Amino acid sequence: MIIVKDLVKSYKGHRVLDGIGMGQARGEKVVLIGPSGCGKTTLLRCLNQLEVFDSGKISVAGVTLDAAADHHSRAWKQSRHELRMRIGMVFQSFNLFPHMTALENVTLAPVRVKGLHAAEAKRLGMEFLEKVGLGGKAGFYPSQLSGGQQQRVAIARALAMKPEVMLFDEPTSALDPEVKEDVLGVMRKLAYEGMTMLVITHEISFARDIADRIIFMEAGKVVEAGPARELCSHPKEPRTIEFLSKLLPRNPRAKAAADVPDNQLSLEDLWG
Amino acid sequence: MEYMSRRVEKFPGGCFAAALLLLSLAAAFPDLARAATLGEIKARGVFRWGADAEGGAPYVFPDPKDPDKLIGFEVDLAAALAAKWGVRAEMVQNNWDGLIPALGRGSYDFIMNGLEITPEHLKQVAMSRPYYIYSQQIVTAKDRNDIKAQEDLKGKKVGVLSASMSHRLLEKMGGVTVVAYAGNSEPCRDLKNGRLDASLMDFPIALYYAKPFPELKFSGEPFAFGYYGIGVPKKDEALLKEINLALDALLAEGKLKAIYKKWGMWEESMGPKMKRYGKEDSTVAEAPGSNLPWGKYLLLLLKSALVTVELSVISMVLAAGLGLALALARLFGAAPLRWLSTAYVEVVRGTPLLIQLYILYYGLPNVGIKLSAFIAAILGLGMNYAAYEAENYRAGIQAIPRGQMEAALSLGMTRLQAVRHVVLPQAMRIVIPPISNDFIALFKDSSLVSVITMVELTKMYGMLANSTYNYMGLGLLTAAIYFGLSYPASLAARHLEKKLAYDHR
Repeated sequence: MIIVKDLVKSYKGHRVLDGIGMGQARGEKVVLIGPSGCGKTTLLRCLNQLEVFDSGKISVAGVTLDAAADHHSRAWKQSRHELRMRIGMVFQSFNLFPHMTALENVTLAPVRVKGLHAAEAKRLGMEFLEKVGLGGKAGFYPSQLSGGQQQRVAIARALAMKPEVMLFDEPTSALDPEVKEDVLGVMRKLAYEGMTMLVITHEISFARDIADRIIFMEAGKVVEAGPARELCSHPKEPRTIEFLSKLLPRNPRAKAAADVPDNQLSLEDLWG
Repeated sequence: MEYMSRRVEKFPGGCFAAALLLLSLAAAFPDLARAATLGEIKARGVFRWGADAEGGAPYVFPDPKDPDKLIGFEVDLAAALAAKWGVRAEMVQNNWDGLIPALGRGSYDFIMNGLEITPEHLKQVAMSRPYYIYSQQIVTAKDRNDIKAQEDLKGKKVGVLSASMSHRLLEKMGGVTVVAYAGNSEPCRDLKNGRLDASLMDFPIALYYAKPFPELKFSGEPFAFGYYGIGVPKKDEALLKEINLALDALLAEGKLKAIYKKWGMWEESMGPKMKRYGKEDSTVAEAPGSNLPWGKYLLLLLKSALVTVELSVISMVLAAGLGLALALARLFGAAPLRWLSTAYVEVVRGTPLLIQLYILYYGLPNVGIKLSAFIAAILGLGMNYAAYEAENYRAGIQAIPRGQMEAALSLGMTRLQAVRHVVLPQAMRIVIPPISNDFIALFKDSSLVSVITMVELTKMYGMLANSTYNYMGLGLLTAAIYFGLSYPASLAARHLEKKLAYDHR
């Protein structure tokens, strides 16, 4: 479903993505973790071409973009459009359109991009708002909604385009703890329904619950990847251990784990 | 001769407090700078005379070979008077329109600048015996033969110097499409460009300005004789007497004749007429609307206010549309479009609107493009303000978080769709206050187009105030009309702003 090959992206001489490669099957849920600045957000943004990458190749749902091709050509632009049509994106800061109601946010793209009629779009919009539990807030503007509600509208907005893959860029980092669960609940539901999902999150227990696989990235490279439970419990790389232990500061033994040079200590202990 | 640049009219850059101090001094001692008698002038060793050197040939004007020096027949006359009294002459620069009010404020001892001896001038100031007999000269294109006398001007488009005797004559005559100019060379240029059928000018002006154009000619004999006299404050009878004595003597000695001959302004018939002064009435025409009821003034002002509104609204629509196109080209266009848009904004913002108007109206005919005054005014104002609006839009668009564009793109919208449906609607709300602010500024800036013969509200005020000297009353009335029009506009802007608000918390 998703194939990334030798992806390189530099910012002012700094290699944010350093020849990264990954793959994801249809229906698979993958969680990307890693310290800030490791390139995970950039990877997501490259996937739907909010960032242009310098070299390498990506392929999503059968649409391939090669950095070597002419970015100004019609073919490239067409592929980029196809790619975006197949990908739904949820941002950390929601990025709802503040001048539109929740329903208008959801129906804008189906009407403008797919040419749906107003009535049809409205039916579709209500369907997805209800799916995220916000059927009653259709006429509300983003400023009248809580952060958790806004993020759920944003998810409905992305789903309304019927994407084949959903990308989540730290969808709950900007939310208060008490509303995080609403958003995570919607995501769980999506996962259960079989949506292909690539998620960046620091909610490690959520990741362990829904992810088929976790990929740990650092300095623009994949350090370690593996089945969620296994990577959480028995990480092989010391950097992974250190990072995971920092995500679990509640457990007093976390510190001890970080100091262990090899994986002598089972991280399973840390889950308590 | 010293060229004192608008000595009292404009404070040379001092701070506000100094200006206030000067103002209060001037109010407390209105005669501070002025001598009331020849004795005072002699004691001081200098007399000050008021004139306008701007576009003032052949009266008083900067020497083309040495622009620091003023020349002209009135400069020579001032020198002759100075020699007679054994003092120096000092010219004080003042706008021609404001010569009489400034005399009242004591800016100089007397006015000597083609001031016609007319009943309305005599109401304001005392006037000396004439020092020159002027007449009106019709000027046309070389190949025009149908206009030879005053009556032939009926139904024609005729250019005049605003508020001059020619202007008044034609207004009084009626049936003529009068185009009023701020200067003397502009009507000549428009004659040449074919925008006018004829121009009516004071004879000396015609000699100096129209003669050099090979495409133009004097049509028919000069007519409507009148006198130039020196204007003195009414209470200074003693000074007036001395001036009259001096002028009589200069005429008798043939010195006046010599000056006029030097400037090519002398005709033999003038001699006897000058001597017979007082026995023969001059042709005088009252200023248009010098004695009208207030309702009439209001009507004239409101009519010209309509021109102002028309100009401002159409130019603003142009500015808003062109500005948006420029901003979009600069933000989202390909490289050449971006450069063009940036260059447009910088050049248009960095040059004065006045010069742009001159180029559009007087400059373009040189390359074969003849715009009407109205179109030139709309284009000038619209294209000028478009540069400012482009920057407003740009700031507004850039204030929208990048995430908005990204969210729209990630939904499969094109850049254009994202701009149209997501970015612009939000930017609009940000740019409405600065744009409505600019509209109100443009509304008032529209008065600049009077330089290309448009008669709008400020110009009408100037013309009426000039002929009635009611600067205060008419000024307040005109200001009230401006305010009455601009205030509802800002209320409407505020309403629109509220309507577009989406922060419904």
